[in-house]
Amino acid sequence: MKTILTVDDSPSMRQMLAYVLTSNGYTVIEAEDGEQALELAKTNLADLVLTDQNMPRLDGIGLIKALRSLPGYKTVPIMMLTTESSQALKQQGREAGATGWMVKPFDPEKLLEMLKRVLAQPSAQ
Amino acid sequence: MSDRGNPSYATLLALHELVTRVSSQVDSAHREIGETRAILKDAIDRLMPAFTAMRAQDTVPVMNPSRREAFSALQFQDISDQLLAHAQLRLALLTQEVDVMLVALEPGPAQVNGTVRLAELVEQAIDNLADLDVSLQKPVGKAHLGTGDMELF
Repeated sequence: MKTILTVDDSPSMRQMLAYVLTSNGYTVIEAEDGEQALELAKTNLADLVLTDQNMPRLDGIGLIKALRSLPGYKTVPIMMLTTESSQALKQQGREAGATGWMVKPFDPEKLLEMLKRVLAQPSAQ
Repeated sequence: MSDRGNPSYATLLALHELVTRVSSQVDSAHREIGETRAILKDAIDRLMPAFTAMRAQDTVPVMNPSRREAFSALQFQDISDQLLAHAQLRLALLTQEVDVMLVALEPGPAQVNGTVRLAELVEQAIDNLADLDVSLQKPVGKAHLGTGDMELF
């Protein structure tokens, strides 16, 4: 069973993600901002990280940079799930080490399909 | 203006009155946006228990077209709250600038060489507003709830 770390400061977004992911066999760890996600990531090795961008304390791109510096998270897929859609920010995300970018609102089936694809990639094994 | 150097007392009074009214309107707009955010939060706080109850009733995962639409629509609060928070930040800065203007326009002994002082303040306010535009990236790139794009790098 794959474990996904979801990071979003919106409780409703975290609930909806948990609903979709647990209903489809994933184990979910939830964090409400980048700082909390970073702490959880140090003690729980997730198979994939799904993070928002705009959050208090530590934003999504900051989290990606911090995660990529951890030994266990060099190749773990990290997907952005955000309302942000500017090319400039996407480029920053890519340079920080994001695996992909999804713009909110998410469609549950498209999200699951994307996660399945990403988790099937050799680097995610 | 009474001459090319200083605004007249009457001009200062009129400007002070105008800025006072602008300040009041900006404060009201800030407060009303805050109330709107609270209403949206209350709405989502009431909707989510219903959502959780629906989840508890599922013996197997169910994802039909109605539920997919519900999933998209339920993300309204997260998306709209970010836009409203940005609008409040802009209004908060406007309030700061207006407050500075109010002090500067207060008619009295402190008003020395008023035209020069006002010109400096206006220039500073324009710079501050421009800085805000740079620091606040647009949080939401769309004005509807259609599902967003996905891209793998």
